[in-house]
Formats: sequence, C-alpha cells, structure tokens
Amino acid sequence: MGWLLEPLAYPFIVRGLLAAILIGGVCAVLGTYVTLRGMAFFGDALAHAILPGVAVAYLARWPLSAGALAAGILAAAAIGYLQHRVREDTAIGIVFSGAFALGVVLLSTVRTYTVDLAHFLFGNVLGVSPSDLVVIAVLGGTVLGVTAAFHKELVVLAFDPVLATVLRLPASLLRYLLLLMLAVTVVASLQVVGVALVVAMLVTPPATAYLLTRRVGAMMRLAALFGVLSAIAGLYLSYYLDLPSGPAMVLVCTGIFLVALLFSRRKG
Amino acid sequence: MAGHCEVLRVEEVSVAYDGRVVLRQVTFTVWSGERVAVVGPNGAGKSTLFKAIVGLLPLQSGRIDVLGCNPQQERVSVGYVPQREEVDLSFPVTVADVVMMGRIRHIGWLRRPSRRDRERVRWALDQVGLADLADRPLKKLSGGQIQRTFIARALAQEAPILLMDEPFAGVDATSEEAILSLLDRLRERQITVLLATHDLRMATEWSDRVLLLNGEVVAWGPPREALCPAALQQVYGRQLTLWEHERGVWMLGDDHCSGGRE
Repeated sequence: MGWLLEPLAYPFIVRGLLAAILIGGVCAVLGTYVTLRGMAFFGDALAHAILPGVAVAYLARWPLSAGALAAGILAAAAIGYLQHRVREDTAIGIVFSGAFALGVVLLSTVRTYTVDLAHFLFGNVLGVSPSDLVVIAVLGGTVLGVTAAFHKELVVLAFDPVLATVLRLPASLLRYLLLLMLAVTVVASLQVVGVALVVAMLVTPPATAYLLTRRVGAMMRLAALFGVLSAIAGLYLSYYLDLPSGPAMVLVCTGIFLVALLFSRRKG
Repeated sequence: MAGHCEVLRVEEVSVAYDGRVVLRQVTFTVWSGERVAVVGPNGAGKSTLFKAIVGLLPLQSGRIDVLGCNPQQERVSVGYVPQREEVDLSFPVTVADVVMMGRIRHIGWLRRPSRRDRERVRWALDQVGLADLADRPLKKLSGGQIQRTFIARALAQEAPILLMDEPFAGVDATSEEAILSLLDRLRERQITVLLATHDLRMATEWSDRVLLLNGEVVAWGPPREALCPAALQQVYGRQLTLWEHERGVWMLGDDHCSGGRE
C-alpha cells in the first residue's frame, strides 16, 4: 500500500489527481454522446481551435478558461456558418487548422514558447493550482448537471433526430447545448490532458464501454469508470516512470480499449 | 369504418426540396379511423408528403392541420414509422428503450418514466407481439421486428394518426401478416393510418381511400375509383399494362421500383 500513498504526501499531486479524476469522468460522460453521434472529429477540432483563445488570454494575463471558452464558441459558430458553403468535415478541417496555427504563432512571441506550448498541447496536471481545481470542478459539475438533466432528450436526439422533430423537441437548442457542453469540457480538460489529447479522453472510454454493453446508460457508467481509472493509473505511471502525465493517461485508455476489443471479440 | 371527425387536413400544400418543387397544391382531408394508402411511383413525393405532415420539411405554401378528435388532448402528435434504412441499428438500445422514446413528451422535462409510462410501453409491445423481446438489442432484430418496434413506439406515443412509409419493404411474410392484423386492431381504436406503398394490389385490398400521387394529386377516393385505368395510365404510363375485367382491373407492372427509396 505504501506505493499508493507515497505520492499523496505532495499537495500538488493530490490536486492533480483530483483534477484528473474529475476530467476522466466528465470527458467519458460527455464523450458517450460524442461517440454515439459520430462527432469525434468535431470534438478534436474544437479542442485544437481553442488554442488562440488560450494564447491571447495567456499573453494578456486573463484567466485561461475565459479565453479558451470564447475561442471554442467562436470556432463552433464558424464551423456552423461554413458548413452551408462547403462540406461539414471540410469546414471543420479549415477552422481547426487555421485556428490552431494562429494559436501557435501567438504563443511563439513568448520567450518560454516551447514549454508553454507543450503544456497547452499535452497538459500539465501537476501544475494545477487550488484555484484551477475550483474552476475545473465548477466546469465539470456544470457539464454533469446539464447532461443529467437532459439525458433522455439528448439520447433521443442522438438516436433518432426525426423523432425529436416529430415530437416537437427543441432539436437545435439541444444541439447547441451539446456543443456548448463539449466546449466547456474541452476547456476544463486543458490543464489535465491538453488540447491535442483531449479527444482520446472523450472517445476512447465510451468506445471501450460500447464494446461491452448493450444500453446507453450502462455504456455511460462503464465509460466513466474507465475514464477515472485511466486518469488515476496514468498519473501513477507518470510519477513512478517519470512519463508525461497526459500521454500516460491516454495510453492507459488505449490499453483498456485493446483488452476490451480482444475480450468482446472472443465473446461474440 | 370512418369516424365522424376530421383528423388531418392538408390544404393546397406545396413543398420544395433542394430548390425543386416536389409536391404541388396537394389538398385532402382524412377522417378518424380511416385507412389511407398513398400510392405513386418513385419520386412521386410520398415520403416528402409524410415528412411535411410531421414537420420535417417546411411548406412552401398551404397549410397542414393535425387535429385530434378530443379537444382536451394536450398535444396532438403524429406517429411516424420511418423507412428501415433510416434507423441507426448500431445504437446501443433495447426494444423497450426505443418504445419508451415515444413517451418522452408524456414523461416531461427533468422527469423519469412513471409507472404509467412503463405500463404503456408494455401494452404497446403486447399489441405488436414483441413483449418477449423487450430486452433484446435493436441490432439483433429482423426487418419485420424492427418495423413492429417502431409501430409500438408510435402506439406508446398515443398518437391518433400513424404515418407508415413503405412498412413492407424488406419484410418477411409473417411480419407482413402481423403488421396487417395489427392495423386491423388499430382501426377498432379509431386510429387513422396513412401508409405509403408502391404495391397497388395491397392498396386496393387494404385501404378505405387511396391518394394517387405524382408530384400532385392525380386521384383521391375509394380504391376502385382512384385507381381507375385512366388515372393509373396517367401516372405509370408505359410501365403498366391494364386489362379491365368484370371484377375490377388487372394490372401488370414492371416492378422495378420495388425496394427503392424516394
């Protein structure tokens, strides 16, 4: 048991662990809708597209989450507008790469450019301050609360948008709500896994759970379990093997997915 | 037999799709408990008409009123049974989950299904003969069982009108039988059914009235009148060979549109 408790003697590791657990769970819950609706590429793009907002906030010494959220909403709106002119995946590609490049250029004006960029791309969970942890908890709690409140409507929208229209559910409103929650999740995950890897936390645990379950509710619960386990295991791996923590968490996710893939193939 | 109140009124409706007018000046009124077959070749606008009625497509002009017989009814909604290809079979849901989705407005925002909702789902599954398969995943069903699942969902929705788009496409004979006898029972409950089909024989034998469609209403009336040789010739032209006979009309079509989608 000693090896489990040893890292917890450091307050910054305890904070990092709490942040990682929160993000592992929140990403998996929201990611369940993302995978069921086939929005993985959109989620990845949105994550990359918040970089210029982060950079501007960083340079101007504003709270990073505010800049990131503004950029995320702007990017989602830009994609929504562009997809009337070009194909949707093309629109996503244009906005995502353009915004990402802008973010890198903005950050390159800082002296500590490479370190900062690496933190934004791959996370810096051990740098989570007490106030960061509060922000992550508030953002994550909001996402969980909103999805719990509108779960059955979001499932109907994902399964059968036609039924949602027939029953006069406010389909576009629910769609925007889901996009907004996706942006909030990405922003909350910035410090834990970074913009380049957040899509793995969104997609891999739900995909793993999908292989092992038959209903949305069970899939979501199992995904959250995998997300949280991956976050904890990744952080310990990173502590003992001196690995970068974000990639370590993602690799644990991928490992669990591969095991599930083998197991589910044998089963059915 | 047809009841005594109007349940659906379509007035001079035109619908455009991708800038092309697909339906022109369509007008008809349906009474409660009536069975209507919507007939026409591929591209005649059958699916478009249904999508306009349920609100999936905007009207270019005209109006559609869906009326309940009961003025106290809170939300008159239409039950829509989609074509099978429009269903995402990889989605992790069971038969009962799909049927419960029809209850979502009855359950209401921020609430969970009540006992009444669960009873209604069980009743709907009983009606379509799928009670034993309630916990089966959607992807493990046959074509006919999928159709019956979606009919059960429309029943759970308590909609007074049911729109079915080609329900017999790719369905085995047993399921077709089951669906037809279910439609008989629905009539006893005064539920109105509109069924889009390209099967003229089925339309003749089953319906009270036929809407013969080809971008506009070609004929609207009892099957023998609506599907008279002149009207059929106008719609199908050379695709169809007709013989008049003392017991009705014999039709021979090169049925290349079967299984097709509009």
